[in-house]
Amino acid sequence: MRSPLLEIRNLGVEVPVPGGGAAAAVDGVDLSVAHGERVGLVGESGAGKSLTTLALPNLLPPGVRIRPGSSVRLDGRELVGAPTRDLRAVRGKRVALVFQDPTHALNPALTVGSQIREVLLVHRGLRGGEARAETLRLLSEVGLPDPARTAADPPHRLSGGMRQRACIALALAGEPDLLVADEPTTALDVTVQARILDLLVHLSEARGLALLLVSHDLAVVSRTCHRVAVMYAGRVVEKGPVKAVLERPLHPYTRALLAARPRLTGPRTLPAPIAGSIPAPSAWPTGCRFHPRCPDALDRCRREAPPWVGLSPHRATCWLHWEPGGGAS
Amino acid sequence: MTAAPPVLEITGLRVSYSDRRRGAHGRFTAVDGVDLTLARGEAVGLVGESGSGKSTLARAVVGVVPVEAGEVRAGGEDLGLLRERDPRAAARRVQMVFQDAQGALDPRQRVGSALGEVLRLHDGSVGSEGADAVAALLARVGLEESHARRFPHQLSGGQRQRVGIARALAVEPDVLILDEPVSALDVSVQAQILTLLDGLRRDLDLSVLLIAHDLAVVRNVCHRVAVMYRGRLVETAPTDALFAAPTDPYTRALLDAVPRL
Repeated sequence: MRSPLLEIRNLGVEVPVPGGGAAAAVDGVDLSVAHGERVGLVGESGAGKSLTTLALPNLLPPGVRIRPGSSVRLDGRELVGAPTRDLRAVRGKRVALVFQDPTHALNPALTVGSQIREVLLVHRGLRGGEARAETLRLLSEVGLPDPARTAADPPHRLSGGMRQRACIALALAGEPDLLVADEPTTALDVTVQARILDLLVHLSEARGLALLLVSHDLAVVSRTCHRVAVMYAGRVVEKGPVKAVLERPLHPYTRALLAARPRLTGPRTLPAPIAGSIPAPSAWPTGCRFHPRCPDALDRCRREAPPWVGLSPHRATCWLHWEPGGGAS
Repeated sequence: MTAAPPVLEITGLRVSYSDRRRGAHGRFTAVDGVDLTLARGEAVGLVGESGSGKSTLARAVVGVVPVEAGEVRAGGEDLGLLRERDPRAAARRVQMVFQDAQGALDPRQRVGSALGEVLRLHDGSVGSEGADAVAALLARVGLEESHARRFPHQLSGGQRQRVGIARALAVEPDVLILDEPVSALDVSVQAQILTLLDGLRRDLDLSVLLIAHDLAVVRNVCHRVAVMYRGRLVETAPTDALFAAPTDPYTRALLDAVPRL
């Protein structure tokens, strides 16, 4: 069997704590993405989703570091501890990132075309007429109606949705194997969001591109991905095929996220809020980290970290589903 | 028996901007003849994409952008005239909450002091009476007394949005207009804010105009929904009817776009 494109093992990311020291904002995450596979990473703000994705090509902000013992492999090659030169070759070329706010991801002083041509030169050695032709091809591939005009425009001339398409074109310029998209549609209208998500699925299928999609919204992932991992307080608490996780969620946190989503069908009841918020990494609760917000918490949940339960590939870390000698493995 | 006049009655509202891309005297009509009424205690959702004119409509109602034609009446009175004569009375009729609570709050002012200022202007409560009023206001929106000592950047997005709502409530308005109050928030926090709004509407007999681009957001809290497209209302209907049988193709397109579980 071919090894996964991306394999994260026991990833820990430490952030500085006010008053000194460090806390693990990402704490032992395992996650893999196969070639051409689309995986969603879901959770609330503060779950550690973005730090996980930034750790892949080591784009972490100053003061934030990857914990010893972490492993991030791309096609079997270890990236943790790799020389900066090697990481630079990975970023943009093998792994490309698309962020929530397309305005800040583009240089406001340069035309869209010149930013794409720069990537084409650096990663693929294309210049002159060849680079210009490839730029137009990319802009048209992401569904921009008038590529020649868009290439000549500075980013501020474009609408939010068009800007995000331009960012995707820029990400594709290095012909990556993996596209990491962090809340790529959160700042956009639902109609534009739907079209951008459809574009990501189309690109993934047409190019065999793998996608790691970060979102706070399970519905966004349901429209887009094959598998999903739900993160809470620095850990993955449930993972599995999207359909299985959405139809039979095992973890109370996943159930709570589903209940919080306003529905278009069924009885017109208010979405159920999840009380409170994820605590800071320096104050992760003992036992199951979700227990202070969990309506079903047992005594044991407060004391002991829960084991993985459920049948592979759909699994969760929760005491509620644990049977002695059974569910845990 | 004569019914009380609606708390908000918008008739033939038109707002336009100068737009030089349309020639030297070119204008862009952002709101083009909108009629919309809000009864006491009623929640209405105003839904459309960016550029549909929904924010401009709200801004015209609260007097931030000039009305070109048409009327905005509150409790039977012309709101524009009332604003000239007695701005504070006009502020008590309609208050607006913006999407970006961070931008709407002074970063150097503590939450308590910001709310205290509005209360002082509104009913003159000062000193310990003022502090009690601030605490009551914070409790009203589900925050604790200790939040009064925080600066806006020390709050989460959801808490900041609660402070924005508290500030609007300080003057005890009849109508609360909220422009995309949850679109920048996590799904779990969105549900908290929507639940808060629904509770406030019931407890205070408040009328709510909830602006959103996502139809799912308004479905569970609004009695009626108005769909706006290119400056016009293309469909206005009771919520159940609109979701069961949308008549306008644009409404159907908006419904199709909402991601489903």
